[in-house]
Amino acid sequence: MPFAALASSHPSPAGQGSMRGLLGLTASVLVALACTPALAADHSWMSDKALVDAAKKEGTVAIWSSINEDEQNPQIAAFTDATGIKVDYIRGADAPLMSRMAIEKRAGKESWDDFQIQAVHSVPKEWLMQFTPSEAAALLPQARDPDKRYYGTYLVFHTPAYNTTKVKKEDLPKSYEDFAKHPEWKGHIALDYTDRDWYAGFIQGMGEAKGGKIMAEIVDKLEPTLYKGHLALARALGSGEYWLNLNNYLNLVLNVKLAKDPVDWWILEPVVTSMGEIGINAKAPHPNAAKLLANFLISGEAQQMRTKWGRIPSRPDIESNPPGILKAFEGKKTITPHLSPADDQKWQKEFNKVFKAQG
Amino acid sequence: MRIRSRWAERITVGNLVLVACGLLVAWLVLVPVAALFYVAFTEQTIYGPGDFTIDNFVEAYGHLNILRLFGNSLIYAFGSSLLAFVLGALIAWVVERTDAPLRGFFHNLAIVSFAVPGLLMAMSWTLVMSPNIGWANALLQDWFGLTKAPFNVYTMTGMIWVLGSHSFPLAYMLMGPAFRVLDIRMEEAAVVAGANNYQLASRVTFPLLRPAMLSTLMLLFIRGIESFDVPRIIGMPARIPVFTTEIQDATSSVPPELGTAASLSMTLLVVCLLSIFFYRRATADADAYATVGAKGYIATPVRLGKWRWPIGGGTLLLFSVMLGLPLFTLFWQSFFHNAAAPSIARLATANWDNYRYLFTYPVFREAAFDSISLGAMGASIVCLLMFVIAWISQRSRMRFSWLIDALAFTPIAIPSVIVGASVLFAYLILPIPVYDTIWILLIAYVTLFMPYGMRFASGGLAQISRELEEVAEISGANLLQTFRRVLLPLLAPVLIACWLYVFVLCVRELAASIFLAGATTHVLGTVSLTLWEGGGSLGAVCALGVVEVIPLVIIVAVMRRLENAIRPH
Repeated sequence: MPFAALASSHPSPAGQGSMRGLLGLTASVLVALACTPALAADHSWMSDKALVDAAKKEGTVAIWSSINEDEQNPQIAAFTDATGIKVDYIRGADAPLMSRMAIEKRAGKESWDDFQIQAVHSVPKEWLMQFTPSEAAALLPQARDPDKRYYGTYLVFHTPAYNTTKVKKEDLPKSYEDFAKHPEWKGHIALDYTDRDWYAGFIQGMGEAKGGKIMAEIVDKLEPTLYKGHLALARALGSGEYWLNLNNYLNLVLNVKLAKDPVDWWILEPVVTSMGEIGINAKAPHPNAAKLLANFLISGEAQQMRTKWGRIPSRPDIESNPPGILKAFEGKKTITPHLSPADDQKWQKEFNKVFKAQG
Repeated sequence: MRIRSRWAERITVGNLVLVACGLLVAWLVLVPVAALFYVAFTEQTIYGPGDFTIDNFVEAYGHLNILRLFGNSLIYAFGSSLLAFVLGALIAWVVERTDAPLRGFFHNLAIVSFAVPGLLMAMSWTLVMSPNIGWANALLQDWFGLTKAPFNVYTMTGMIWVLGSHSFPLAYMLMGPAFRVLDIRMEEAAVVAGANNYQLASRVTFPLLRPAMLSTLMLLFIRGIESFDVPRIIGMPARIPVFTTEIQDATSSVPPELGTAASLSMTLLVVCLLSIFFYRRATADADAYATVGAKGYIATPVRLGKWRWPIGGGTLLLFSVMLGLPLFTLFWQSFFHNAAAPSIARLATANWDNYRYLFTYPVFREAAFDSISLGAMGASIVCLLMFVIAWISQRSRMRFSWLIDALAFTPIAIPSVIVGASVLFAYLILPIPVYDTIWILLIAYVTLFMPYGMRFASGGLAQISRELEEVAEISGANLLQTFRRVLLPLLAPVLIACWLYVFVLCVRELAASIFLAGATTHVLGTVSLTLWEGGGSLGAVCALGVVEVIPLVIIVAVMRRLENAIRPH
């Protein structure tokens, strides 16, 4: 069960002496091996022999990604072990990576092959190659771009979260309207100030008039604090600085929960979703290696590895960590607002106005 | 024939070095400045800059709220710079001018604290003084039976305190060398002439220190205006937006609104240029501030007598509050995965897991090596280059020498993100193969931090009389010999302080590095951002902060010995 593997990958506050540390390490290795049988045996993502041969001839591939090295490097190592293809990895946040891409384009240089951030859909279409990886068939429908320019490597569910020592489960709102019925939460609720995509999805799901009214009431009655950084927000929730997050990324709340912080989450509709996306440069210097790497990153193998850090898989044949996450959202009204750059700026302004970002 | 020989006389190695340094600085500065103007005045599209437009300025300044942002920024910058100056100058005075006990300890403490990134210091203060989870508040409420937390870091006062208490090392490092070369004979002469303490301070001591004071205040003020760590961690939840909040918003949107960020940066540029102009006017009569002349100088410590231990103790108490609280919190937190208020009971669960995680983090070792290398190279280049540029600016008889000062100081007004982007673009199109190497990072760091070097060198040089160089020239020394054997030893304290400061800035640099770090080049700044935003526990981030301090302790000790060896006796 991957839960144990995740727990042991993060430092435990309970402390470990050297013997316990050794036992813990052994357990982690055994569990990790148990969770990734496919690594040793069946690389379904390498089924296209012609592609694999062409990729191996290219010998190297460059990926720009927003995933931290602790998560990404094991996957890169697995890919290189299986194929012998060297991977150059540059890590950065979405915004600077997109700027860097635009600057390279402007200068007439193309150094990247694969691009993995949450906003690949914002990249101009003509910069992305159309491709159909063999593993795409196993993805959830919402994880496949109809235009075949990007695919989802993990899902992000936007959900509210709470500190279990400050808020009782029975008091949790059953709808967004219910938030305003808790004046005692005033000053104790927070969200990330870049949550424009969540806000856009919420308004789209509720309708402009109704959604706008609900949010205005929440802001008026509870004065939510704006914070920078979803992971830092989840940590602040865990520390008790805030009692509730009006919205956060579920995988980060899980990450903090699995590290033994007293946090939990619940579902309110409409559920806004986004995902980690991977696309390929239309002028990739190593197009075949790029396709092979993309296929690997959406494969069951890679997604299984990713669950170790609480990331939610974008395919139904891989169980989440903890289990049952995808099942919990079945039947719920979900919205995936793919904002264009112009929409992105428009919704940020709307968000700032509603949440009084300037005080 | 006579004209040709006059020109021929001027073509010396020394003059060629001056010209080369001037051209290098001009190139380094003009790349990001040109980018700033270009981006500010062109339409921003995902494809890059488009047609000429002033829409970016309309977008940036076309709302009344900008006045509120600017007002908040001014209060924040004034408050924090004044606080940092008072704290830093006070400690510099105690360390350099008195016989108070523990002076060496205070010196090391003042510098090493600066190694902790601003983001972490701000976070530490929230763990100390948050009204909800601050452990100091909880303790005071417990001890005194208070119903409400006595301190709230989420206020303008809190912001000023956090930045001021973190920035004081800059004031210390600028004022310390100035105090050290202050010739006591001038003060003695004033006392003999009948001056009381107030007259002594206002008419002798402070005027002599004016270049250093103005350099310090100017730098601190601009740091306050462009600071974004404290506004991010404390200002945002407190709903106290400042100017840099807008710039950060613009640069972190997807895609980034670099045009808006650039047009907002124009205000910072104007502030910088104005401050240089007023600085030059205020220190126009350079010889009046020279305390190191041909007759040498005597720096005798002030004997505190019965006040020796009270002042030493008071300074220790000041450090305990200013640095002890947040650094202890950082250190404590580094032994726990999640937020943990200090208590005896919690000690039992402290562990080394965060340090294990950090040292086995995939790119940590490479990042540490690259950052330290870049820090050492960057600091050395900035010190030497700015030493030469400051000399040209102050000693040359050119009418517009103040422009050289302004040029070297300009990068401080340009957001690091824009410097990073402009350097990236320039070296992608130029046939200089530095892209994806450590050298492109070095170019960016030297560009970013030369303003600090300029202020250190400028303030230090102002205290050295021209007559020393004139005497050297008369004795037959050429320019390089004068630099090496006269000026360099006298400026050693300033240059070493400058080196240390720029070294730390390089190791901590983040915003430009995001654009320039490649597949094989990693730096500690980007690692800390990754841990903060994309993974790793709170404790791991704190462990990184602690680890960044340790090498600096060693370096400070080494540099102190070097300074003592070089300093003329």
